[in-house]
Amino acid sequence: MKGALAHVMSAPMFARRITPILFVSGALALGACSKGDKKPAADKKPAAAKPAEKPAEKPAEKPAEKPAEVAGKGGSIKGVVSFDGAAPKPAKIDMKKDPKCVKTNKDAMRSDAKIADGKVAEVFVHIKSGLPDKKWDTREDEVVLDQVGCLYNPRVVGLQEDQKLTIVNSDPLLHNVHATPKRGEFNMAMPTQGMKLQKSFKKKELGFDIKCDVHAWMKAWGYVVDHPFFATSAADGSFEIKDVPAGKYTVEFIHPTLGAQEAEVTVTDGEAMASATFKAG
Amino acid sequence: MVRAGLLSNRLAWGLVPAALLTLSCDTMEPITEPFTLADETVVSVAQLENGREKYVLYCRACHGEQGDGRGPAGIGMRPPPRNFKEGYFKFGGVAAGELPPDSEIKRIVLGGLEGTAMLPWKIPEKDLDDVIQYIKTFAVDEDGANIWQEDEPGELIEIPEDPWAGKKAEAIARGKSVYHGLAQCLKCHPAYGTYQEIWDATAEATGQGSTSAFRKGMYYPEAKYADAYGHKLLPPDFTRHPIKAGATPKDIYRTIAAGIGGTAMPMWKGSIPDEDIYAISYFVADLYTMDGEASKKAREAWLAQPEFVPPTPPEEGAEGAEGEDAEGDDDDEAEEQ
Repeated sequence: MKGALAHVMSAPMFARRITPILFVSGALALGACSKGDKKPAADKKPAAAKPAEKPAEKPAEKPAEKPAEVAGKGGSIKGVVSFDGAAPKPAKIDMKKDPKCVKTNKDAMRSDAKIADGKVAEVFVHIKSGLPDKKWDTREDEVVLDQVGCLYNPRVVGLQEDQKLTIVNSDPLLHNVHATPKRGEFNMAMPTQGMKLQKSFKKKELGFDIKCDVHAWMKAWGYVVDHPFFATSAADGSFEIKDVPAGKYTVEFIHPTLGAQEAEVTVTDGEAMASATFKAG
Repeated sequence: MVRAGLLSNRLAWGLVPAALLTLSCDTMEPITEPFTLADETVVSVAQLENGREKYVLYCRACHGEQGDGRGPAGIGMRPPPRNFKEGYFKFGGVAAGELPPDSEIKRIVLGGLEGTAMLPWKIPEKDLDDVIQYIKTFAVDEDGANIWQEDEPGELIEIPEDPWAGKKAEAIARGKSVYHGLAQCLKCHPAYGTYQEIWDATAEATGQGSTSAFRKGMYYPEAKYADAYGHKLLPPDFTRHPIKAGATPKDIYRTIAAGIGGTAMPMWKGSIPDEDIYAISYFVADLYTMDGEASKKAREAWLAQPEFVPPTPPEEGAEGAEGEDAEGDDDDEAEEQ
């Protein structure tokens, strides 16, 4: 008995919470039952007899828009992402929860959007529609996500489905890299400086979080598409999507906090231009 | 292993009558279509119907008619019953975030989860097989696609031979060092040692002792946000909280190596050597045997430690002159911000 008492003592919250609940829930189960089985009682709530919800039907596939026929050898889509208005001010990141982070990155600053001279960095630009419906070869260029100074570099990670992502820990401390797409979530411990690992995503998804659970302020965004035609804007707002076949396309510009914009562009031979301007507020 | 676990198991038996009572009112729609899994295996209507019937018998009271973990007997349970609609499993024996193979779901059903209302259920094998297929039918995502029909289960985490067999004391000592040093488990879970011991563990891991590995409030766990649940979860303090998926070094190895799906706990396999994961498992299993009074006393002693004076000059040559005092200044600065 002394033992049993000790158990109760070691988990008093649990005991207090669950004991009454069990009896109540038992009664509920009984109540639910009689409702379903017997003739309609005074209480006519139909909840218990509700038939099992059927899985929602798959949304009807939109008939694939036929890509417009455009003659030409194809080329690249280039442009600049601008910002109209006052850029949000960066704020100092409070890293004192992990003194080792303070040590590696004393004056870490963060802003929701990286804007300089009216140009926006970290905008994911991709062809949203107009591409022929086919399976594209997977891009082979290496995408690197670094954890350095207890921040992610870059913060916007654009990838094609199955394209390799190399994740590096440049800090002498524990990070976990936790990507949370709807499909293919992973969460890996990276305790040592210089550690590298490779990952990829199987299914397209725009704008899922990549985060570190040890350091709540660390966040990057993943953008995975099913074709190779995408880029991320540089510090001067410029971007280039290379080797685009001739065609008429809708290009989408997505920023993790500023939102999304679209532009129409026709690629024939050489460079085609597409730009976007995000506005303050 | 007893404590909260035994307590809750006892109380949870109160659920069994509730489960039985719901038997007589099968209000769920019969299944009329076979179910094809991602690997092309077809689950027949007969299997699904048997699975559904047995689900009503064994599972529905807590896990609910819709498989959403909101059955009438599950209301208010902590932790709440698993929501099968989401396709998240905590202890699936595969890399955190992946779907578990059937064998792992069986392991959980047959073994139960310590400290929760999930008892070990001795369900006949055929029925268990069918129930497992049936619960997969719940996992429909926003686009109406069933996760089990699109994604195959992850690859089972291989559990190596115990490298510390017959060397328990050594394993625990190494585990304590890895826990506080190389793996930095104390970033989320509590620290279980003196400042000096933690300093020594960081020295063993990196060649240089460090106080910057210390976390504020490190003798308690730190709650971490869990996406899958939409709120923070408290990482276990192994001297107080139940270890749900088995408390033998082998079971703990599996949990650490795989990580815990939907939570902050990452996969460790491949990040540090297997023998170190096993060593941590021994250390954690040992903490778990500590009784309440002993753990309370130990914690009180750690909390009462005088301020730590590093035994050797501060780390990192280039910044050496700044030392730990400078770090203190940083903290003040940060507070002002």
